[in-house]
Amino acid sequence: MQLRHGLVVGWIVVALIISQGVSATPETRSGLCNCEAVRLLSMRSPPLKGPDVVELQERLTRLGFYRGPIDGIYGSTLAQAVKKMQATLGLPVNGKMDERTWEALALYETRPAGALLSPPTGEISILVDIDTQTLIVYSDGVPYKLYPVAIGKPESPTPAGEWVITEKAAGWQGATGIRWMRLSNPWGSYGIHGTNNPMSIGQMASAGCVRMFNEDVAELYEWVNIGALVVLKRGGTVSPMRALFKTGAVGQDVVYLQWRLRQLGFDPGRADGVFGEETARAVAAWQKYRGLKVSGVVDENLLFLFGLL
Amino acid sequence: MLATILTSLFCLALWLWWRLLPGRQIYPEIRPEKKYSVVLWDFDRPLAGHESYREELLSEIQAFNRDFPNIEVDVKLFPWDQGEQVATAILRRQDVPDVLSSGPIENLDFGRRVLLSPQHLTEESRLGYVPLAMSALEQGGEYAFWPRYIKPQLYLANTNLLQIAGVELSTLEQYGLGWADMLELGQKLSQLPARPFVLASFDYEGLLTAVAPREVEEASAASSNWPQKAAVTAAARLKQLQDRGFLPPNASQDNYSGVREFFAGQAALLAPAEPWLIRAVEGRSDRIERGLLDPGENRPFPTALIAPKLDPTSGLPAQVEVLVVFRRRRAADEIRAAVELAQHLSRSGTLSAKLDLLPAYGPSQDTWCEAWELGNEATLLQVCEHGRIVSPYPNTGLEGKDVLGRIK
Repeated sequence: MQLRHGLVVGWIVVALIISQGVSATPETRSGLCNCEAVRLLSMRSPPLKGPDVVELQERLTRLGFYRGPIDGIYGSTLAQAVKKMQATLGLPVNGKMDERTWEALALYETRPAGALLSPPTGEISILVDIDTQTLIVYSDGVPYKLYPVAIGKPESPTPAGEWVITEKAAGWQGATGIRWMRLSNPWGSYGIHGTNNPMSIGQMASAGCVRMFNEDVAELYEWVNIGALVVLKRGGTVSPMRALFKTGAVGQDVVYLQWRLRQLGFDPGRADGVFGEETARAVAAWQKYRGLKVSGVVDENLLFLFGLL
Repeated sequence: MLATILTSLFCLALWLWWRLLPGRQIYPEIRPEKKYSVVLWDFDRPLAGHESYREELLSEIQAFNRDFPNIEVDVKLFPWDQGEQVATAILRRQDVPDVLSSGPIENLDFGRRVLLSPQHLTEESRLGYVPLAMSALEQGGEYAFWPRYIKPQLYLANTNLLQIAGVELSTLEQYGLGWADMLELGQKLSQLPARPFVLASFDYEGLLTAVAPREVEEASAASSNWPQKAAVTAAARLKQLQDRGFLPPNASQDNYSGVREFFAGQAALLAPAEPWLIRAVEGRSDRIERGLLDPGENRPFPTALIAPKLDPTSGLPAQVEVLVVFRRRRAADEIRAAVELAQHLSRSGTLSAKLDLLPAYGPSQDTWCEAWELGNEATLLQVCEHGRIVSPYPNTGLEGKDVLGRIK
């Protein structure tokens, strides 16, 4: 997946957006999930500082608009760079990073879509490998297309598990880009969406959602229906486990328990992070098969035997 | 003269009786031009890693069909928890297969429905099976079953704790662990600052078996239930361990009783250690080594398998899964087809490692060792080479708390 940038492409995309009149709301946080706020940046006294200013300086440096220091201070040099970019993109030139300018910057950075594939004809499912930050679309269980993605930061990890798409929304949504697909995760609001920061793709950058390039998510959006299976897979160590699992328990540790049960040959149903009847039945089947007293409850003893503690 | 004629007629009658009784015929050959059909009943089992037991079994049958392409095997798999229903159906003659894999069925007393196999399980072929497995197969003085898998029960020891306590591991490995050894171990462990426990287990009957393997043997020889005397002896020992603080506090509970203490390095022995439990312990260490699990404070430690201290003629608590051939057909060659299938399945070692069971057939052990992929296989195989089997977990008829409550 080679990233390419081009002024022509940027112009076309920006012109398209402006012509479509996509709203530039003052909202700074997506209402769809917990993704980061988009701060309005401008010259102020004292000057604005912060990681988003650093990010802006880096992005404008990469695009050739900014040649100053990467110091996280929104000074006059940076404001000039913003003006230069606004002029280039046909935006009102005011030196302010408002919602519309952020959006235009994101789309300007966006790579052109790769060779278009014909839509897959089989049943669509999605695998996101959190470790390699890739999303693979499957058609009838056969890999169809691979996309790079951004996943959650260490402090806001992407929830591993087996989810389904429960909601779809199109249109510019600020931090979630031009498309949004909600996942059925029971303990938070997570989804697959586009971005206002394409440079973050391939990094641990989100608040837990799966971020894609806008044109990628637009393509995927057309292929995926409500109810499609989305597996978010993570290797490495399991998260902290609670000491006792009973029916009704919800959380990331339940997903790891469900996956472990399946590895051991006992099917808990979809690893949906809910210790429901199917999971309890799988635990009971394991206990029965091993000749132990059947309780359907998982305590520390069982967690040790499962290799989860 | 008359005596000679009468004797000849008697011998002829005897031969005819032997020849015509189903399953008693002279060992016939499979006729290559004839099509045979054998009905196999088995129980579905979970296999790790998304594999299907049915598919694995079918691939074993495919291997069988390479030798006997004209024997068609009709496989019926029952859910694991339907052992009793299947046994009842056979006893009531509602339906009977040619070959049954015993799986979860504990009582295999099917009487005359079972084909006894002195002429099929010849002395020569018996040599291939490990002695521990063969000891379980007699019924009414004759071999009634083909052994398939073995589940011996041993002690799994935290060798770090044994070393710190000053207990000679090699001696225990050589001579086994007896009741006196257990008390001595407890005494030594109690001198340590952390006062680790002697024994952890996962159920009450397991604890009884662990502290009184000889009583298990006596109980096994006497009946399927623990004689009261043996149960009281075993429970008294448990009480003694508990009073001295050698057992985790929850050891008298019916269900899990201190597995976590063993994994946390707070108990020297885990028992009874069946192959699946050994694999669970080693599997956890393996997951930690591969970075799949952060053990926190509960770091893995080296382990060793120790057998119960029993005299050379005594048995080892173990379970054996077997294959049963039924008298379902009259034609001798058709019975032979069922016998060949039972023999083939009893000798395959491929599946046993995936099922956390030991193969009963010695020559399959190499395959088993490769597939097991974890340590401790040498000890496991070694214990099968001597002793005879006794049934573990005879029913006390008493709840754990009741028994301990009575021992004051």
